[in-house]
Amino acid sequence: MLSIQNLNASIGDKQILKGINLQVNAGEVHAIMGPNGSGKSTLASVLAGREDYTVTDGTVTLGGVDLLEMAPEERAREGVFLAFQYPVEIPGVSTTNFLKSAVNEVRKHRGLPALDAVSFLKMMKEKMKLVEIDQALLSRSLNEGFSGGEKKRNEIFQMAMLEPKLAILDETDSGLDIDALRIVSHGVNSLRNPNNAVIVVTHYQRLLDYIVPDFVHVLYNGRIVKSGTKELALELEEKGYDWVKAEADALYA
Amino acid sequence: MTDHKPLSTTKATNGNDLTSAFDALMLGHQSGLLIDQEPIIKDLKQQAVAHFVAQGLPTIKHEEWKYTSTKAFTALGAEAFVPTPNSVVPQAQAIADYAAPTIVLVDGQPILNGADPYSKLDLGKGIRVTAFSQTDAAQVELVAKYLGTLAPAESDPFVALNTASFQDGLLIEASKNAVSDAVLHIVHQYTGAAKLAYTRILLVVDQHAELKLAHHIVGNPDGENAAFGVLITEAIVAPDAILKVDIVEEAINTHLVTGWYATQGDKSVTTHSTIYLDGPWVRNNLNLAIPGQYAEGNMYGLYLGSDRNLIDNHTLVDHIAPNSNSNELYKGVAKDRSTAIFNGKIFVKQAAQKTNAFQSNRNLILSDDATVNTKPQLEIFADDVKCSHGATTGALDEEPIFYLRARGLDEDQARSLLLQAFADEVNDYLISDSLRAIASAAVERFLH
Ligand SMILES: Nc1ncnc2c1ncn2[C@@H]1O[C@H](COP(=O)(O)OP(=O)(O)OP(=O)(O)O)[C@@H](O)[C@H]1O
Ligand SMILES: [Mg+2]
Repeated sequence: MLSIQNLNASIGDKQILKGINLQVNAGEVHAIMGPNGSGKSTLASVLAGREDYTVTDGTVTLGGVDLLEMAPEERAREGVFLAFQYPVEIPGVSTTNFLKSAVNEVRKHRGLPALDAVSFLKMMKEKMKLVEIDQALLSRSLNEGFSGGEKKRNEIFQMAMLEPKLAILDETDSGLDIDALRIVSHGVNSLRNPNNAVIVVTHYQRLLDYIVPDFVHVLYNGRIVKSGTKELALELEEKGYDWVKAEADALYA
Repeated sequence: MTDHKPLSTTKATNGNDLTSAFDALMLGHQSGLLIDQEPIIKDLKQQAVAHFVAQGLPTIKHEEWKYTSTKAFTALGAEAFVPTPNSVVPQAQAIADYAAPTIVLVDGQPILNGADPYSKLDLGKGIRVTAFSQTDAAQVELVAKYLGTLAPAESDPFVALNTASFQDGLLIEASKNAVSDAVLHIVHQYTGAAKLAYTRILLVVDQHAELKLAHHIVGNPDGENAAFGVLITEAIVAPDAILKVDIVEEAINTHLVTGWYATQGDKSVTTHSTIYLDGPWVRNNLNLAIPGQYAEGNMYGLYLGSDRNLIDNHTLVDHIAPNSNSNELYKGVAKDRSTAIFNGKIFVKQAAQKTNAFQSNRNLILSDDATVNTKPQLEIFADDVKCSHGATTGALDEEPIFYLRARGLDEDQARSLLLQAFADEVNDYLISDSLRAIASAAVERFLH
């Protein structure tokens, strides 16, 4: 489904991604771990189409179509969803406010008719239940005064509404309390099906107890330096990154 | 109004010959208009002529007019300064349906069919609107007592012009404990027939009364003539009274000067929401004097600058007594080659301890050729006060735009949504539902 080959990206003069290769098939969950500043959010941003980054080399395709040529909104309509590590505050714009347009843009792209107000509300209710989010929160200015956990939960609510093909969750677990972690994971799991895929960026094993990955990758210094199955995450939890770093530093010195 | 003597006119030798304009004004003043017959008003007008002659029209050398040229007025020539009698006032054009009691002023003049036509308006008990020309003896006394006490003819030439030249106007009274049942809508049309048209309104809001007004200044949308309007309102707000005023400006084809002057008694509350949507050139002066304690003055503004339009908002709040508050939020968007000016004065007099005064001016610039000039001006002579001000000018933030695009909205939709949110913060203060809808639609159109 998602195929990333030799992806290089920079911001200004600074090269951040240095040849990423990653293959994600439909139905799979991939976890990306790695030390702070290694380029995980950069990878997520480049996939979502943030224009601050320049792709200097490589290709990215989703279901065979070139993603890099597309504007961010086209990617979203194609089914890419990024749950932001730091969701932005937008004064005066509520989730309900923009989500109807967003859902209908995605539907239009998929050849589906626009939802009327009633069906949209019905869908909202369903998905609100799924992630146990309050109507009041969705009517407030987006992320303004939201707690850390509320922000993340709202991101997953939007994911549920937009039903993406490829969801990239950038540290969605950070800031969640134990109950919320369970609820959000349950939400993500119940959205999984054989036709979509999830990339979870995380620092902690505990999320992976709930959202069990098929593959775990370590991103370090702009490269995926190690890949394995879910056991790799456990090993990292136990031993830290030093051994992986040492291996990689020797290799790319 | 009746019995006008024919007006004398003076030929302007050239458009900039203001001496001729002054002469013309003098002659116009002697034309025997009805309101001039009241000795106090007559006096006031005579003084106003002298004040105008002394000041002349302001030029950009004048600090208060630094960015706002009045050349278009000067270019009208002297004849334009001769007040035109009411007989030229045409019938009202078709206007929007405000679903509320509505008065139309054409070139500042009420359209009077019969005696006391406004008595039929459903305004609420104790709310009364009367044309100056139809005031009874007690009302004449009221007008004589308050008119010209707030709007300073001696320091503002447009106030002087208006005071010297206005003919009919409106007296709006809210008697003790009166409450507006509905928002009274006043539609202002300027036809360009009377080159310089003068609108004059006096509000007297008595103790514990509440008055709600919505002005829709539509200018001259159908006419070919460029119109020129000078609108001055004075409001006497008694202790414990509430005054809420919407001002929505779409003064098409019209050069517009407005002045909104209010004085507030103890525990009174005023709210002015000034929304500029369209019109080539406008200068708005909003002045609140707060000699009362525990009073509150709210000033909200929004301007959407486009084309080569110029929008100048000057506000002043004068805290004279202790314990009062003022809140000010003006927001603007400038695109194309438009120019927006914001000047916000906060004066806190020595006696006005425990004043809270907040001012914020936020601007979005959407094109390289648009200009915004913003100047907060605080003069604080009391030591125990809370005053804050802030001004920002910049483009729309890119982060929210990316966020919304990452959700599937295209860039246009994202910008439009953000602009709507920016504007709604002010539009939400409008008390007139129909004017809020008009403003909201204008915001939606703005990016296209
Ligand atoms: N706009 C920018 N300008 C300069 N450097 C940047 C910019 N954005 C990211 N970087 C740098 O790129 C590197 C990778 O950042 P990124 O946010 O992708 O890391 P991360 O792996 O997500 O880290 P974390 O685990 O802390 O979230 C960091 O060194 C960061 O400082
Ligand atoms: Mg990150």
